[in-house]
Amino acid sequence: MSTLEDISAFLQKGRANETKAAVQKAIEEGIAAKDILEKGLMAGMSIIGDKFKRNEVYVPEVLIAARAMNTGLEPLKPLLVSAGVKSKGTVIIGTVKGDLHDIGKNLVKMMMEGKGLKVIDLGVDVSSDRFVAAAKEHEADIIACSALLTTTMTEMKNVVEGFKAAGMRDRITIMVGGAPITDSFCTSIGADLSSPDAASAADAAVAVCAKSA
Amino acid sequence: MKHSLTLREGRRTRETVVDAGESLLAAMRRLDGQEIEAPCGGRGLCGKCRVRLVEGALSPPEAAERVLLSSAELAEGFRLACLARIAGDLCVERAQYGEAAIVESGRRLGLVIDPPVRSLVVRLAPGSLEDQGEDESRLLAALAALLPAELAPQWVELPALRVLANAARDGQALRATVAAGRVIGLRKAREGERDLAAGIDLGTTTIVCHLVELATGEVLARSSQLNSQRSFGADVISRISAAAEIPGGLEELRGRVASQISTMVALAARAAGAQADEVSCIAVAGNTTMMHLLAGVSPDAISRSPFIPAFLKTRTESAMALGLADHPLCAAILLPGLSAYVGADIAAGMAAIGLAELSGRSLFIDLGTNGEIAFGGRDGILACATAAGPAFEGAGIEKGSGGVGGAIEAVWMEEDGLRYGTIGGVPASGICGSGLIDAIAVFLDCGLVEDSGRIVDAGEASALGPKIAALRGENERGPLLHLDRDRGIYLSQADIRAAQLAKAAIAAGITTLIACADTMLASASGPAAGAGLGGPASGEAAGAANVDRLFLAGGFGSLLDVRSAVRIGLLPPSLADRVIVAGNSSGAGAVAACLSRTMVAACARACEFSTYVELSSRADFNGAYVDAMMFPERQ
Repeated sequence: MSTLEDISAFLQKGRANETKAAVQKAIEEGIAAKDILEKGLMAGMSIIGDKFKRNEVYVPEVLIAARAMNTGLEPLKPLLVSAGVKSKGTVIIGTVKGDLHDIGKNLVKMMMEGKGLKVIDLGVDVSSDRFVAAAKEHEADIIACSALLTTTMTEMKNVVEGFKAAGMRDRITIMVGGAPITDSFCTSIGADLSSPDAASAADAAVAVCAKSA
Repeated sequence: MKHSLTLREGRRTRETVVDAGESLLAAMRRLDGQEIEAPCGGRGLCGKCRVRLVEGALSPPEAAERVLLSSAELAEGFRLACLARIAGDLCVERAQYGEAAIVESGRRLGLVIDPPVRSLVVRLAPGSLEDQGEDESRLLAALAALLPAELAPQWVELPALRVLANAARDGQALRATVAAGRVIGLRKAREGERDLAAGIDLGTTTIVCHLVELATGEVLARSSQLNSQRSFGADVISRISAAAEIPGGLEELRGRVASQISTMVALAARAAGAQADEVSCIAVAGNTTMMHLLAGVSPDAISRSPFIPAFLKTRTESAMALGLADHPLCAAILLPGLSAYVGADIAAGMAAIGLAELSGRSLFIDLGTNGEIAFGGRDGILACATAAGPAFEGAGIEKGSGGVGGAIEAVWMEEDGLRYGTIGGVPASGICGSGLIDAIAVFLDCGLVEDSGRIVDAGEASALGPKIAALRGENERGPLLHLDRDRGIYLSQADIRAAQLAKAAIAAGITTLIACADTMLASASGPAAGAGLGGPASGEAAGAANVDRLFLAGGFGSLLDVRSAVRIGLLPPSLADRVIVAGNSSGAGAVAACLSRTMVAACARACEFSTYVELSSRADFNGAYVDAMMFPERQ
């Protein structure tokens, strides 16, 4: 197996230290930082994402794989910066006001990072104003809002309205997600995209950024 | 445009007039009788409201219906009532539900009878030119003469006053209800009347009514029904949504549950050979949302952070004013709750088992739609609620079912293959919570499900031998495990994932509360306080090994096989031999509250004595939750 394949395999098993060691070995072998990222780490995360979509792996495996990815990224980061490798786009993510559910949002964040997007996590109980302010500050391409409750998902409409009021609505893609969210709800509040699971959300976000790039 | 809707259930048919474009679910809600199940609240997510179109016209199937129904089912005319819209005259059919087998036994309590509501017979002097005092004072004085000073009423409620104005004139004997220093209700007395009370366990899923004779404390009759609000959703959040979003929703939900309780109490009285107006007290213990809906008070703020209920304290009202009775005698006691998600049902349960009086530390878990957990003893109590979701109630499980006749409630492996038992011993129609847990335990033990929750692939299954491998199957959505191939009952991969989420929430709640105890209960002294006052900030949490007993409450807790619950990691192994099945402890608490002022006070004390721990904002809970999603390794 090549070193890049090792990186992907270790990452899928969630072995953080081995992933990092394999990344270091790849650097020593002179493989380009961008290739280590895309053909090693991101390739492994992508397989985890596909398995997650099919229910073959679950939340814990995704979380430990994401931890392995972050550990593997440590030695790579300075090289990516000096090679001028840019993220594919910037996403602001958060769980809407009134809702404290964290885990679904974290999964989406990890899947998006695994696809090479820069993700700013505002945490839980995030007001419309905070989404707008963060979008301005980070020049975001996408806002991703999470809600787990039918009573808090209505807050997503306020986020859409917040961006309209700030005059930023046409410059930003608003994604919504969470257990009670359906496509028809997404349309009804004037948001742009909803996805059935975290991995599909990451795919959709990459597609949006590729179009606008 | 108006159309006619005919609904067939077995041999029964019912009809109603419907509007074109109206949702079939909304139309079916208007038909009385057996409620339609809509655990997701009619959002097209769960697939439980399926009906078959026999003839007539509905809107074309929506995308969500194509996901939740197979193409064969769609061809046969199956639709989801929540998404299908009326497009002409029509006739639909649905399967009949069996009788619910809801566990309603509770622990027997040794109580001194001292009811909080007193029903007394008085005769008023009619008054004269020499004594022109008003009826109100005359009634209060007559009652004061019959009661200990601390129970003497100071005030006559309006419904009682309205009866009094007429009844006082003719010199008849009157029966008056006195509670909380007030005359709540009044009517003419009859010869040979009995004094009855009803303790109500008001669950999101199930309502249980216990009729009790106040003179003896004997429970005369019990009955249980599924909550008639359930066509508005299986969980409290969907009920809150319905109350807030549907015009008139709050009043609709209030009216449904009030009249259901009223009917249940009247039927129970009749079954005991009494009349409904011989019931002088109804004590209700339910979760905080149910209590708000019963009182007609908006529960909206409960559903979102920071989770603020409108009221929690004990309330004593006229049952007629609440719609719980159609006669003016009866008082209603709404028992106190602790927080938005640890309600009167849990407080009543804690009072019934006497948690606050027990030495050492005990765990108390109510495994209903919400998993509430309390931990502690006479040094203090911590309580939390975990969003277990309704998986253990059968919702969100493809072939899931509530605890009704035909539900698979137990699964085990014998030499010659998989065996199961159903509620009522009738042919299997679905799987309920205890069956789900047993089935996963069996599949883990035989190697068909890995620790991670993954169903093994066909190759891996064949290595387990032909009998085991034969249990594995597949459909268009992926692998599944058969419980009964002929009847089409199986667990899908998604079902196992839903069970993992549910059990992880409970297990993580237990871990977190036990870990909190050393610091949060530290101010109390006592043998079990461990690290004690000012001890090191709890790096080392008291493990489950230091728990003296585990009370399992709720209907599902009573059916649960403890070994299977340990096998899937729902309960810690060290507690397997310390389990005490508490049955319907909230029902027992509600009955006890009818009988004893001490118990009403004990419910209030259980609330004051407990500290609520909000799990959703805690990082340690989220960590424990993810850790607990895996299944324990095979021993």
